[in-house]
Amino acid sequence: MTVDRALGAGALLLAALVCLSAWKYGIARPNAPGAGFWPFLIAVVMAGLGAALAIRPGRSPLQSTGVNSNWKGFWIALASMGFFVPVLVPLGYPASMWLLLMVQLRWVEGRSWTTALLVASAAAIMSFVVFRLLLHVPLPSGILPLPRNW
Amino acid sequence: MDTLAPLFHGFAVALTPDNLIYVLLGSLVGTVIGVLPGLGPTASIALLLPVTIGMDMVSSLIFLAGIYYGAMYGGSTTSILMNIPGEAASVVTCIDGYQMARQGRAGPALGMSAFGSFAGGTIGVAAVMLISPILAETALKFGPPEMFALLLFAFTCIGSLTGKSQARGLLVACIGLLLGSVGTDEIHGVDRFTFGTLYLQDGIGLVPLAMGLFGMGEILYNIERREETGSVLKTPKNLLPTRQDWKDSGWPITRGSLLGFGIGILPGGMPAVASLLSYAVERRMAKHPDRFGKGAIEAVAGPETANNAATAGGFVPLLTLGIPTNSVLALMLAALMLHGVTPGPLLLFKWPDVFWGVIASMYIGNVMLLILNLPLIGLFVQLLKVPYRILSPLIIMFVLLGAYALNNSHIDVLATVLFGVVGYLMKRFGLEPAPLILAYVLGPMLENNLSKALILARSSGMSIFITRPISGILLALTFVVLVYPILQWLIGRRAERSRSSAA
Repeated sequence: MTVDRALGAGALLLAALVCLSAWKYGIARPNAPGAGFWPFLIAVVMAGLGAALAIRPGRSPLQSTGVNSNWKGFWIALASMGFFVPVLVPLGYPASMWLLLMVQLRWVEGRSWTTALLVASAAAIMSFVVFRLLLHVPLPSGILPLPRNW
Repeated sequence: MDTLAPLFHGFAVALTPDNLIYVLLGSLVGTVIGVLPGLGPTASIALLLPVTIGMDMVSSLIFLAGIYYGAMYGGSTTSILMNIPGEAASVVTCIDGYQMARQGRAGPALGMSAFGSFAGGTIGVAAVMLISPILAETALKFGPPEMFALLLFAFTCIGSLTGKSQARGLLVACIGLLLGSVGTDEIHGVDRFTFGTLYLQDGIGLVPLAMGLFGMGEILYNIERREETGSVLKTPKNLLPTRQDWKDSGWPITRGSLLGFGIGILPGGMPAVASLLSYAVERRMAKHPDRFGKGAIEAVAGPETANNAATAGGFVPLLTLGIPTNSVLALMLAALMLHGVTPGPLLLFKWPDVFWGVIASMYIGNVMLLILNLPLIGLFVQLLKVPYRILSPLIIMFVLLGAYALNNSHIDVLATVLFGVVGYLMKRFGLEPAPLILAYVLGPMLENNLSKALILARSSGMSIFITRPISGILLALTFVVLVYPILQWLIGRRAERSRSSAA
């Protein structure tokens, strides 16, 4: 299966779903287009393009062979970012960012423990201080005890 | 004189201490971004967009514009010294620039590239200044049908010119249009594609979308496709080109300025297209085209001039019509909108400080870059020695921090990560994210003008677009852009058939 064929099939499916939704929003009103008119128009064009790609696809295969693909690093990076989102507020910015940077530097980028500890600590603390104190961005402090005027 | 008085006013705006600092900061940040491979101006502007919200409207645009043209200056450094383009517009500079470096002539290549960039940028800004008021006056006569036809033309060009396949580009652009239609419909007050969530009622945020697609997507791609360059960098000593170099580069710089500006004002006319075209023109016009690819200085001077002139040219449709011609300018349009400025023909008259201030800042920025860039080459070389394996986690930190800082919402952070995955997948499968972001920005404008035109037309319906001359011409041009590749394919197929039958 080629990228174009997969893309064309996906576009046709999406266009069908959008058409259904657009119908519900209302396509036309007296002397004026309805709220669904624009998405309907986009879906029609999308369906045409999707069909064109599915019928006359290019040659690039869907499974492109990655030379030196670092899948382990990729998944660890993605998982650490996925973990960062829910813990940002309860753990606070400094702790969650420190954790994220440690994982990135140590296991994704393969830096030594010393470098990872130094860079992660410095970056997490400095960015917190700059953004919270100087730029007044209310970054959550979470488990970190902070003075009242911070 | 009509142009000079507002330009002096623009200089008064740009020369305030705050704005001078933003010009300097923007140009330097842009140069660093251009120097560092793997982080283009689009990703960087997306990352810095939240920072500009707290700034004054004029300052934020001056800062972002500085990043844009600064990146064009900086992009050549890595191309010449490492054979790795700092950003897309410097790809062709690698060919002869790196060859010059191998022959021990990195200094003249960097010097000529800086001068060409300065000339292209300055001539481009002068042309912006002269053309924009005329175009804005004309655009004031446009009604909703003309605006719709113009936006549709721009949209089609963008979808067609970016990437290898027109259908792919247009399909990606359609997805951008769909994303732009999420949220409460302005005319009817109906919630579209919100799935009952409060977060989506205001639509999908541009900043998480852009930071995800360009910033996070790029980082994830680089993590997956890790490549070590292993290049040994040395600071070049003599940066001044010889008399012969100047002689060889004079005409390429002149042609590059004109060509680059012309490309820049066209929808989809990205600096990368301008530099590629300039290389092709110079090669065709050269007395000794065999020198190309072996270290010809005109092959560095022309493209580097053209990409800077195109950068300036892109500001014409942005500031006069509110139409961004590439993804960087789409983000600048978003920056204007975040500050409550409605880009379009009225911008020049309602917010002259923005227009003329930015123009004047570009003159100042170009001079600053010429003065600062060459002495700072040594510093940039040192910067290139910082391992990307340290920089990459720090960039991730800034992306996530910027996403949170926008609305103090962790949902924006989640959206950025999700769009990052989308951006990664697009890059992996050869889909350009630029048409998506441009369509996302242009979509609401297109819909608004289409609805207004149809309400205006009442019973005559769609015929309003054909009966009015300007919109009719623009729609005909749109049709030509759409049909041209199909005709080209048909002609090619016929020629191939006749060749095979003759054989």
